[in-house]
Amino acid sequence: MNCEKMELLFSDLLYGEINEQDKESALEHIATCNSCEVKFKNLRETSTALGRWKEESAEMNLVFIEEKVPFLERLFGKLNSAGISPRQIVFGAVATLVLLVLFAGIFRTDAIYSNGSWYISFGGDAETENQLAVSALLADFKQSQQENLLLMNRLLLASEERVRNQNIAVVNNLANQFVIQRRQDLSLIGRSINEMSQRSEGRYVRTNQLLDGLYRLSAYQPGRLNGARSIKGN
Amino acid sequence: MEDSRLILRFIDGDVQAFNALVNRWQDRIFNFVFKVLGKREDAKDVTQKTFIKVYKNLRKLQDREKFSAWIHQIAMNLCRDDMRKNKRSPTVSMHEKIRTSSGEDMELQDFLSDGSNEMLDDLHQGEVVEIIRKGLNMIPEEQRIVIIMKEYQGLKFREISEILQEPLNTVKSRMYYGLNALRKALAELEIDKEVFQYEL
Repeated sequence: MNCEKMELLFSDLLYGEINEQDKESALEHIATCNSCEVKFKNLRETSTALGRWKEESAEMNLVFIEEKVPFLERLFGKLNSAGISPRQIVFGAVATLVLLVLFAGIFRTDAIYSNGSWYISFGGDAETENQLAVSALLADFKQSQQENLLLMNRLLLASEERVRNQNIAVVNNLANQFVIQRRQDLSLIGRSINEMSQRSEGRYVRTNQLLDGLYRLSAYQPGRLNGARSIKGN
Repeated sequence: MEDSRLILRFIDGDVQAFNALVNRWQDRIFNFVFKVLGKREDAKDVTQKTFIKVYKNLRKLQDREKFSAWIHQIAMNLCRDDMRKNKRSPTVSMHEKIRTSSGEDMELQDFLSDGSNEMLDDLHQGEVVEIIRKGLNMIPEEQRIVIIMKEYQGLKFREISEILQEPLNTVKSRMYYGLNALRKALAELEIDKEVFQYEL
């Protein structure tokens, strides 16, 4: 052991992080080398002096409260604690993705999204593909049918209302015409009755005149015919 | 319960396990940070930041047995950030004010030359701490951190080497030269061995 090598062992010796063989050699050297003895003594003194700065209380009260940890973070944490590094996780994810792509390529996997559902098929089988296409078409057809029914219903409701309104208008019109016609008829009848009445009156007057003439021409006394004339309405 | 089990429980979603971990480590980390930065309030701030960072990153810790080294590494990096941000000088001025046991503020130079301090056995604990703190601040940061990690945190040289990502012999060398530098710094401050009641 020389002084140069001893310098490397001072720290080990001071803090007891030295194997028995090195410790023995170091202590032997210190016992025989005055310079190294002083150096080691100084180190111990300084180390002991540092020990007078005792540990203090932080006078803190740190409290952590529960928060919702995102799923991926928890998953990564668990995988990490299981000894799987983030690099391995990423590699695994990429490898899985590549395998999926290869799988899809080899087995001709098809994924169709239609009407809120995913349809997945493997192998590119024509029959399966047709079935899928038919299923998709049927679903489309069903949906269109329902939409059409709704539309028709709305149209019917609208047309019924329009026809009803038209009929009411026609009836009203007819009623009005009927009233007018009736008035005209009544007026005509009234006029006819008046004319007939006037004509009858004229005839009656002439008849009376004729009768008077006849009376005068005959030998009868006019006074004897008063009773018959009073029947006429005097 | 061991740290590794508490960490495992925390990863499973038990925050109380993390609080138990904080309770176990906060004084230790505070003391480490306080000795590195030298200011209590800054040390509290950095200690808090350390645990927040631990909380966020604990799930990424691969080897749970190395929690001690890992948390020290986080604390040390945050200390360095803080020192950079505040541009704190590691040196100490003889005109710096210290508080004596009688409660009065006086310059370090005056304090050290004051005849009343010859009764060294009666030196107040707070004054000893002030002197050691100033002595530590007078040596290079890289040596100071190794000394603090070894003397106060009780870390193995191997752990310090991992934290600092420096070769083992570099760490041991920094320890050796750091202690010598500290001795000289204390000598500059005219502190003789009785101050510390050496026991050989």
